Amino acid sequence: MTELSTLAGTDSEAVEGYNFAFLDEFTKRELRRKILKAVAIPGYQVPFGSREMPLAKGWGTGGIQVTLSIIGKSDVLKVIDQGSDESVNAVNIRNLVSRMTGVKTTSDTSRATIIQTRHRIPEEPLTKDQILVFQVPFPEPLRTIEPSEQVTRRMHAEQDYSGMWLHLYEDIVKHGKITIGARYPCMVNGRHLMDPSPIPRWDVPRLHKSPVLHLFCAGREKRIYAIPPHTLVEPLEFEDYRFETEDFCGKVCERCGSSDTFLDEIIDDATGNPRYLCSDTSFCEKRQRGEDV
Amino acid sequence: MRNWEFDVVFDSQRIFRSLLDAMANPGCIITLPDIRINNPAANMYPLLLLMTLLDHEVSFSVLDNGTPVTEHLKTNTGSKESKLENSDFILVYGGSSHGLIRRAMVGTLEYPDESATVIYDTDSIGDIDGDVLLELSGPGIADKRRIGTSGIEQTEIEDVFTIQDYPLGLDLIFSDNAGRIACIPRSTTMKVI
Repeated sequence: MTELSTLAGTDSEAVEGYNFAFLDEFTKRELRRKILKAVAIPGYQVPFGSREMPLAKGWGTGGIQVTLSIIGKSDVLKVIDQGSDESVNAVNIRNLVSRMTGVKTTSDTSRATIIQTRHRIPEEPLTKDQILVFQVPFPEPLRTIEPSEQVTRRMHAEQDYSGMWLHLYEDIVKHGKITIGARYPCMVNGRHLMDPSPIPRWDVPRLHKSPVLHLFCAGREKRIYAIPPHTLVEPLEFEDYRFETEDFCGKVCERCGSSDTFLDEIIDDATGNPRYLCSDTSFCEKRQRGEDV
Repeated sequence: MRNWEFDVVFDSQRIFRSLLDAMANPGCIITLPDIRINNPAANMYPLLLLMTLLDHEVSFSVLDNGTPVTEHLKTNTGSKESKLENSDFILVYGGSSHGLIRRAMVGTLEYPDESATVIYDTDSIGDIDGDVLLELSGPGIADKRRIGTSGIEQTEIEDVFTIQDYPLGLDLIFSDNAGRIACIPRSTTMKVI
């Protein structure tokens, strides 16, 4: 398969005049120290001094700072945006990292050592040698019920999550079910409530005891948190109102025929009928080529 | 003396990735990349770890090895030496802090990350043999994992036990002469076997 870096014309040495991986070494050191603390306390949000990046806050500045602080010459990078390697956000982040480091980039999930993602986990099973870096818009799961950072921090300290349980209960009273679409709150390691970033509910069970290291970073909100491999990640649920993933029963991907992946619903302009396509484009292409994934 | 042979950009990145791997998989023995420096101590690997992590924003203290190591770290990282109870990083020689470790920073419930990372200079780390055998479980470990270390005293491990109170506590890094490291973050449940 052609390397994306070759296609983009960035398959060469890093651009001169910048430090390797853009960030200065003090910034990397701070991020690295905070990442280690985040890994040691799964689900706890470690504050860090988020830097100005050459992309707007809210467009993945957190994810990219983590990626740039961990990446080395021998890494192979994949960047996805909602499952797609080809969307504007993914292409620009990939080009930036590639030009600042000269590392190889790929769209093939199994070949990547670092995968930066916006709001999806790749469908292909990941291995223990890979690191998944999430871009996070809102790191605080309690923010919907409590505006003050000082108060939410105390709630985490006291493990006081009754407000969140009440929020779910009120949702059931009003709508007959839990209506949270993405950003479903999860308990990590039985201690900290965590926002898994706006991944669909489909991806939430895949965080549970996964073999990969997950690093989450919110650049605008200046927080880093992590889920190490083989960690308990439990979505909040009641005994009689269980956590549910999206239901794609009876629907298949139009391109590859997959019935066991997360599907995007697209309304056909001509007929007005919904069409379904795999959200993970790299996986979909592999299936179309008949590869065993 | 300034260590010019240590590449601040690339060596520290490689060492950090080994360390991240070790911290994410507690008890897993990881070999550090082969990087040589002029060093004032018998085992240079704890110094490589600290040269990767320290800068002027954090402080450290060294127990039981006198001034050359402290001076080396100050010169090469710009980090400050501080009292043990305020140190972000603590390097322990001789396998024991003689109870001092109980005074190290364990963080607060609101900010558990404001706590010390402790590096132990050990003789060797192995899967099954060593003076102290530990059985570990928790995040980063699929079921259970065993680790043995030589050159660390059992009383030291017991002292660490007494102050671990998740999410408060210390994150430990064992580093041996052969370049092997293993981490035990506070999230790990451990027992001496």
